[in-house]
Amino acid sequence: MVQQNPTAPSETGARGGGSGTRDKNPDKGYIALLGWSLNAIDAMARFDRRYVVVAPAWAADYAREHDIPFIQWDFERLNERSLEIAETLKKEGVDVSIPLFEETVEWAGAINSVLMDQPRLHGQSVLFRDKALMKRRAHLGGIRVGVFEEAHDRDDVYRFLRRVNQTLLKLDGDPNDPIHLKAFDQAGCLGHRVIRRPQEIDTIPDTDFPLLMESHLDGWEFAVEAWIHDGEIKFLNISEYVTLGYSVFVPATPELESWREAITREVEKLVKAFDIKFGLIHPEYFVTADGTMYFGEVAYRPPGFKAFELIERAYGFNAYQATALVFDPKSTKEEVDAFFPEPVKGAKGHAGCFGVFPRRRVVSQLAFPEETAEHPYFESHELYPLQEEVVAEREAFGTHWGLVYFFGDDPHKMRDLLKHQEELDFYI
Amino acid sequence: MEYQRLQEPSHNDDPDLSRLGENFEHALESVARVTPIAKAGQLPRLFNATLRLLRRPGGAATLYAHAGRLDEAGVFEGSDWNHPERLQPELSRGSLTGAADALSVEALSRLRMLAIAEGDYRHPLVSAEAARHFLQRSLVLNLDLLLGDHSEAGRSGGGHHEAVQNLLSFELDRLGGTNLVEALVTEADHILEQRPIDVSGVRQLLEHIERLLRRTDLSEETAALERGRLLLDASRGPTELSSTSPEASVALFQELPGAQQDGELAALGHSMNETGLVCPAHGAILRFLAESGSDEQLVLAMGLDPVGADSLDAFNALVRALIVEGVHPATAQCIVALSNLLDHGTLFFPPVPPALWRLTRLDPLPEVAAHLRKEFGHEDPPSGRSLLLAGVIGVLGLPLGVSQGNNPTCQSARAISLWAQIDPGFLLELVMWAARDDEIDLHFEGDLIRSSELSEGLIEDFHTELDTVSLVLVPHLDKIYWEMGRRIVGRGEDGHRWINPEFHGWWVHRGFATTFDYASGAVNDFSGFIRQFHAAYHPRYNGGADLIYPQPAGIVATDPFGNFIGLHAIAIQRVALGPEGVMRVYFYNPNNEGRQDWGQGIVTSTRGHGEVPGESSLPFEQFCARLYVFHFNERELGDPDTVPEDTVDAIAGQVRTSWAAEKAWQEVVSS
Repeated sequence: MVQQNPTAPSETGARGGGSGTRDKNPDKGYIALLGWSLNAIDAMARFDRRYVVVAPAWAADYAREHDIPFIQWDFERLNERSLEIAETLKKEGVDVSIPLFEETVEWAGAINSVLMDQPRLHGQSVLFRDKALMKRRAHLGGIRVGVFEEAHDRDDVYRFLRRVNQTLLKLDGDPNDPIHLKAFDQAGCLGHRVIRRPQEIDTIPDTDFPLLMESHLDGWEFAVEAWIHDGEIKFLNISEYVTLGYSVFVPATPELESWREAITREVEKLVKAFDIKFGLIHPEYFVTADGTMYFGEVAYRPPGFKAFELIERAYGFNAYQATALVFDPKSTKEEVDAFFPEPVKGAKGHAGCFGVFPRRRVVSQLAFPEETAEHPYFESHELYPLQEEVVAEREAFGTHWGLVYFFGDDPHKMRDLLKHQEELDFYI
Repeated sequence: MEYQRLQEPSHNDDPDLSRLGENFEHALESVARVTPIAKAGQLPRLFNATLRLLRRPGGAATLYAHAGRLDEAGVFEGSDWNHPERLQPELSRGSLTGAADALSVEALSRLRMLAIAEGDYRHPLVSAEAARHFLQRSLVLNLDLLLGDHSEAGRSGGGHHEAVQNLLSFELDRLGGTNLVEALVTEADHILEQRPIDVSGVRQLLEHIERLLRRTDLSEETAALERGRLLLDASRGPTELSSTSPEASVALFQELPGAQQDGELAALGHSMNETGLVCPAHGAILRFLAESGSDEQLVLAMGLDPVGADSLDAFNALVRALIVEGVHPATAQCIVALSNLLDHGTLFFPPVPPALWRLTRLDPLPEVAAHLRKEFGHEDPPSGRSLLLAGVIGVLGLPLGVSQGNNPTCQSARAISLWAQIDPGFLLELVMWAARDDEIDLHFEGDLIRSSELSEGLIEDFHTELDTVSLVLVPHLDKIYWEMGRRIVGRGEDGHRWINPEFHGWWVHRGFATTFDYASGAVNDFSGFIRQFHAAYHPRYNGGADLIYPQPAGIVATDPFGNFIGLHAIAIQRVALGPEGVMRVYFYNPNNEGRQDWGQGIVTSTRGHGEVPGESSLPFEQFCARLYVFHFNERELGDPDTVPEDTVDAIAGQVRTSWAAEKAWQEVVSS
């Protein structure tokens, strides 16, 4: 028999002052994490700030067993009881709350407006949650955006597709430029659809409305993670997308990094337009061949695709701790400045990951490609074996089946390697 | 192929090794740094780095340097390995042959054990003595994993074998000890008793034995240690003279007085017959004798029996030519086969002598010769002709020693073995075609099938650790077999019914029985199938009819838990009473490692039950419990109804709780 798998959650680890935890500094801020993330909790346990996790009931047992400071809260939707959690945290002495997921961004705004006595923080968070408002705000701030509109039904989508292509002076029979549809309030690629032909509009489910429609921007899409303290960018990471929704790596290639100054100026515009004084932002941009920068969207939370983990692998600092640091109103400028390494040069290598989607419609087993496993850059994967045959569906951009991690010296090799993964079957 | 390269390269300046070492260290730091709740997330990277290191020479040593830090870093937290005092050596096999993660954590745990045993790391609950005992016991239980894994289970499993080999080798060389040497010696003997053509696995074991024998920590002299030295000597040179270089040994031999020459030759012949191993000097001396020695000297040097001596007498010039062309110091191991070939009287098959003469004059196609020489792995390989001839001698002399290696080509290996046994003239014809024309052709239902016109086969990635004849023939045979398979698609029945007689020869019986319903995969009328097998093969039910020609048959390969792995081709050699009075099936398994555990107590035997070297055997009923296809002689069939109900039910019971557990089961209902 195979002895027990070691990757089951530890039940033996002694907690609270156990291995890896760190003494807390009472002069520093007390931080509430909104949402459940083991890596975030681990990072806080090893950081000198006091912390508490605010998460739903299903996490309570685990938190108790592992001595994780925990307050139970259901984030389903804001309602008249919403103030309750803000009051609870205030009484607890919490200084600031940090949203870990898209669903807790608005909650954090509402809570922080109470904790910090700054009512406009809630309004600001609403901008991050509503993609149509977000675009308008950016537009008003003098930031270049594509053409966008809100859609409430399929007719709106049809009209938009037609008008956009009319504007582009397409003739009958010319292939349309695609438009992008995004659910108002979902993170990243979830609910993201690309529409090229009118026929495709019928496939949009009713539940996706209302949504935001945008013209397609041809260009190089990338993301930024910027840590803001006192209204200033303290560290700016550029994440290079090899293929949107599939793969990303940090730091970016020298080609993309050559735009760093321009990108920094764009992010500064964003900070100003959204009046961001502190926190972590995760905007996405397109840069066209002539260097024009288009704003895509911005999130006020850690990015998906384990970008924090990639940043830690490349730079060595813990991105959750960095986030706590810039959120904490009691952090000093000196402390923040000392925390971050020099961008790009401070990295020990390039860390990337690839999100696996089954390529075949019906799959029955995990068949990790030999060539990937053998590549010197390959580090690990989190794909699970299948128990039975599965019919794979890919709704919109969907959710990947697991990530494959790479690390290596050469950014171009990394880029090509990640691209190549798209041609491989991980499930057959 | 046979020749061995066993020098340990220096890996100090292997850049990959140091990069992998850094990756491992970084991963270990990450595991150590995080709190217990996040350790699981860091482990995959550590495990991947572990396996990658293990697969490189020197990797185990790199890992060992960190063995003392693993507990502190929390690598084992939350798993059984966190309590090394409770680990059972009997359970380590599951992890060593299991999934990548299980193997990685097992490897790290074992290296920690080794550090405890060696005094490099202290554990509060495990003494150095206990750690040493754990590893020694576990190594003894898993010695087979030290060698190339050619079993069906091994081939179907993941490719972690190399990592396991390196890990166990490292442990073995660090631990030493009398009981480990004993286990290695026994393992070597059990392989040698099966008289494989390729003894590189044994030579690998001997490398370990030699290193361990050199150590000073062995307790009193035991029979096994002595046997170990004997095997080593047989492989390197059993006499003072033969342990010098091949050139020196010939010079020294010539200087000996006549009587001493005979003594020397008798010692060489005896050592070979006693162990199945040949030293390089033996090859050099035999060459010398072939050119200028007497027949008596050749008889002594090859340890021939009276039949062998008669063969030599009758085909003197041919035998001498075979030696001169085929036997070199580097190919000396083929003398075992040559001696067997002569003792069996194989040369008296009329087509064999002229076919062999023809091969002594054949220069294989340049690409064939180049391929053989490259695969031989010797810095100065003999000519393609010599290698081919040595290979032919090997197959004819040790037909049951043909192995499919790590290829899914049990059919082709079986065919080569069967031809070598009963139709050697045909085999030599095929070798000639392949070596001279780079193609072979066979007929199927009236159509000519030429390998040179085919591109598809079972082999995706040809593993070349094979005897020379297989190296030359298998790529052609594989394609032809595949093509025959293609041609029977759509007949709705197991194609072996038609393919086997055409692929192997007319002597494969046309009577055919299978218990699989080809279309549905269900087990069909198993009782009827088993009754028929008894009526065809069991002397008590078939009227005492002997099996004249070995017959191909298909078995269901199962793992030690009886789980279905796949279908496998073997050949039934004979059915006879074993020495303890149990009716047994003696069969040839192209895996060429006959000792296999198929679960439910079905462990194939290769010794002690009346096996001819190279045969596997099982009690008749146990064989039935894994059989799914056989051919039979329709003219010599007993009455199936005389087979007792109990016997049939017992076998069916075993099948239904093992390989057929998840298959539909269809019985014939008699009305």
